[in-house]
Amino acid sequence: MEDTLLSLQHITKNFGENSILNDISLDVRRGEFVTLLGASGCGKTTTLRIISGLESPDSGRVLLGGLDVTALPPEKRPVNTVFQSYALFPHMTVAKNVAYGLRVRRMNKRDAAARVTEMLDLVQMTDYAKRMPAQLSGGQRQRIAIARALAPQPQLLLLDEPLGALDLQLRRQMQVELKRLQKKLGITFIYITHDQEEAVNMSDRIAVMHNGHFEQLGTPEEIYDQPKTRYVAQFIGTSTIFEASVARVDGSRAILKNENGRFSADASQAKLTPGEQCELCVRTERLRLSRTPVDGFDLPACVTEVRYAGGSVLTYVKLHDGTEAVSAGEMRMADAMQPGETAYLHWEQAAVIGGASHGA
Amino acid sequence: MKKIICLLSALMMLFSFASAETINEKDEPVLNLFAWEGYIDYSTVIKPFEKETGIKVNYATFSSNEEMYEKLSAVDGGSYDLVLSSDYMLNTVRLAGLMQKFDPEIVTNYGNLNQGFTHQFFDPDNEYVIPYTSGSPLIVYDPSVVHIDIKGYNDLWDPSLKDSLGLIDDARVTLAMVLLSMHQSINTTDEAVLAEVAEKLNALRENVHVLEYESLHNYLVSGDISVAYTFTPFVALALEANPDLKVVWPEEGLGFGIDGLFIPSKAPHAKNANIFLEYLLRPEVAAVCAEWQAYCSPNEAAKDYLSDAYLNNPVFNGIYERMGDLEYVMNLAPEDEQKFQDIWTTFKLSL
Amino acid sequence: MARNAEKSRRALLAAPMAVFAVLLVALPLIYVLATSFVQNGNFSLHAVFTLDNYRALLRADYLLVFLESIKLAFWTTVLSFVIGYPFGYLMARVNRKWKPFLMMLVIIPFWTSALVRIYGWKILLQANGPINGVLRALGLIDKNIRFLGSYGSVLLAMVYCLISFMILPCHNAVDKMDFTLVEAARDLGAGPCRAFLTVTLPQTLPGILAGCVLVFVPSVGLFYLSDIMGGGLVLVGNLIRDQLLKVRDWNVGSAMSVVLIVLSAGVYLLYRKSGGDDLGVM
Repeated sequence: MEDTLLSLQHITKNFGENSILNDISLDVRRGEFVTLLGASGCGKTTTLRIISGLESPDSGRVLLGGLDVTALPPEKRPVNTVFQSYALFPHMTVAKNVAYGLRVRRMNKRDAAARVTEMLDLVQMTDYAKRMPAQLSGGQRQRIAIARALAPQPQLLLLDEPLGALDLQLRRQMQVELKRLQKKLGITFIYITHDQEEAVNMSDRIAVMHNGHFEQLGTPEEIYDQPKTRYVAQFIGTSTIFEASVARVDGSRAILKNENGRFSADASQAKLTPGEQCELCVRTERLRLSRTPVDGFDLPACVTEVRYAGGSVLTYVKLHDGTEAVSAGEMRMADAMQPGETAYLHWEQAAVIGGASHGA
Repeated sequence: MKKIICLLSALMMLFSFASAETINEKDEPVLNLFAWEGYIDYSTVIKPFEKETGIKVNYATFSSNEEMYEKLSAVDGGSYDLVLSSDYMLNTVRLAGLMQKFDPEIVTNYGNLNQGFTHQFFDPDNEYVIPYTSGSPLIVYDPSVVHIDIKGYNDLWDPSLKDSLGLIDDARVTLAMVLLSMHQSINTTDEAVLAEVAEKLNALRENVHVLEYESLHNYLVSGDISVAYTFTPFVALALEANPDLKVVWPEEGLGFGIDGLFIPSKAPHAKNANIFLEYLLRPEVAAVCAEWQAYCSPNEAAKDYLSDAYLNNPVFNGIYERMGDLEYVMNLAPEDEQKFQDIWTTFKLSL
Repeated sequence: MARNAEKSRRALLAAPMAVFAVLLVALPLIYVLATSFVQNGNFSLHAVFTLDNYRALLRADYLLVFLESIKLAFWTTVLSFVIGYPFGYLMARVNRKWKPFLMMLVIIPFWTSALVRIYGWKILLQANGPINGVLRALGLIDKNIRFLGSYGSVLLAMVYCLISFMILPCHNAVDKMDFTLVEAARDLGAGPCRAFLTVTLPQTLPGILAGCVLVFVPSVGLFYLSDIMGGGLVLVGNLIRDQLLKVRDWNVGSAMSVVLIVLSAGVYLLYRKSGGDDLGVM
């Protein structure tokens, strides 16, 4: 594609005997906000470092704007990184820090100073130009790190869990700001986080990483509502996984059954054949409880616990074979079902995962 | 905690008792010797003495005459029984009253000494000091690279010896060499003479390659220098390593030195000291000492016991016929010593 | 109550060192200081205060000697840095498994007497010694080089003896440094050289300064190395020794010693002022 900025092709990386990255490939479009999401140790930071040039892959290629930069050292790539620890130079003022990438490329002092001011304005840190990094708070340092990385106008900005050290309020605020910044400047962002809420809030696309490969790559909605693997399903959001076998396929709907009963699911995305095993992932918000049986569903369960969770009520139920499920519904506690009652589970949206004929 | 303090105090008191002087010391079979390290050999000299007399020898050391003097003064001439020191310092000690006469009833063989070594300025009446070794710094050079015939100090200024000389790193000794080359007294305090010395020394600048005190012979043997002016034992060592080297007894005169033994005024075992002196004066013992020390022996009778190698060695046998000409490096008053040091400092700075 | 017990326990632990420092360091220094202000030998209670000993030091040749010592100390420090810093850097950055070996290379020489090691060098550098032998065998020279007696051989001895004091603080500084900073510099467009000069060097500067102090201060006073290598230099140490032993003027000798001590203290104070505090040993 003409507007593909970054292309990772079959990247493999080992450290000694450990395989860190296992044949990963990724295309990122210009102006996109892509997040690498995964637990620690899954290889996201290594991927970032290979993109920036601080690490080189054992095999595979990195293409930037169509050019093969795999062998190019980091200082020659138009890619900048915002490090997790910010890595501000302690012996330089804020202004000198921000100007570093410019001065290194031999921009003259005056132009550099103008650009520094522009950047500091952008992150709302104009008054801090003469301060030393040690005098700044965590959030302030973070902004300076961003300003510094943006100053040389890179084609691609890499952010390694930049909000990890901030408290919740500040983090939420910075998420909004970062997204706004990205849209305004039009710079391509590749973002790393292990916080799925953050990923869902900010990204155009998410790559869920696990054990050195991409489990799924898609928009937040796709990842959320159509998880392709059990790992993705469990990593994002809360859900209940039902294991079942296919009883019948009726056009776009499949009838599934297991010990607990029978239920139906949208089979348009997956090719299911009767008799095969599969898994169904139902998001907590999509799992509905009814006091009476619902058409197409035969899933009775016993309510075990009801809890208030700030805006919604969580109802815990237990199915016939002991499987536990959670339903989140917007209602008042008074209207919720009580422990001991029988609830009939039903839903409108669920994702089919697993299954031999299921294509990834 | 209290227990530890008590224990420590008790130990300290014990120590102080242990070091208190005991009575009836002078009858103990002990001899406290005080000399430079390695100047009297244990296995060939001290051990046979201990065996013969049953007197145990304790060998305490110092590293310079000045150190010896400080220590001896501090104990007011006591503690040590027999002390070895150099000519100028022997004189100082004698004049300070820290020496006692040796006992000629025990030291009956004083006559074994070569007369040229007696009646010296530090002991004009031969009552206090027994000379032990003597020597004079000599010139030694490698004739395969030096193409002039060196006969005396003045030859060292020859331009062909550019950057080839090794001299002793000591103001008095080397300036004495320059003074001798000018036929002046090596203890002069004459301003005009000293000015001349400074000038003449300065003219030697180009020829000097190293200044060192105790291993000039190594530089000669390794080829770093081709001419050295150094002390007797080192000249002997150089010859041993390279028999083709030539030794020169400078025609202008010698800087001379005698190391001698004396008994401090309050020595606790004076009798044992005298016995040891008699022992050392025996010709066979004196011969062993001389060979081992590689210095000239002042003991005439020892000649019968010295090896041919020693007797034929030009380093050792040249001194006897030159006895008349000798001047010692004497201690001068501090302001005069300072003058020598200053000339030397200026010279070294210009190298 | 408990705090007092804690305080007295700490005081007790520090006591041996304090006694040592007072008896064996402070008292002698004070004695030297006192001796430098009187005439005629050692200090006594009847002595008369005088500045003559210091006036006696105001001479052109003494100033030259002083400058000579500073010059030697300066070059020793510079060379120690040029050789020692890269080695310390290497030690800090190298693979874990090599570190103990490299550390041994630095520490083992401490176990051998410095004098013995320098004599070893003397033998190596002799005109008919192994180094010349190798050079001749390789055909690089046809006449033996006389290393001994040259300024270079003295520098070699000085650097050889003192370089460990540069390597260790530099190593500690590099080790402690956050290397992400260097990565950030590279990421922003600085090549390896530029990143080193703008980030690593300033960041490890405290260690470098500590190393400089630890090398410079002893160098000013070290004179026996120069004597052994036949350099024939007159250094402050030579002057002091000659004053004390040859001229036997303990007062002027003490005055010279005091000047040396003041210089060393001055260098250390400069170091403190520049922000250093632990001499790179932490």
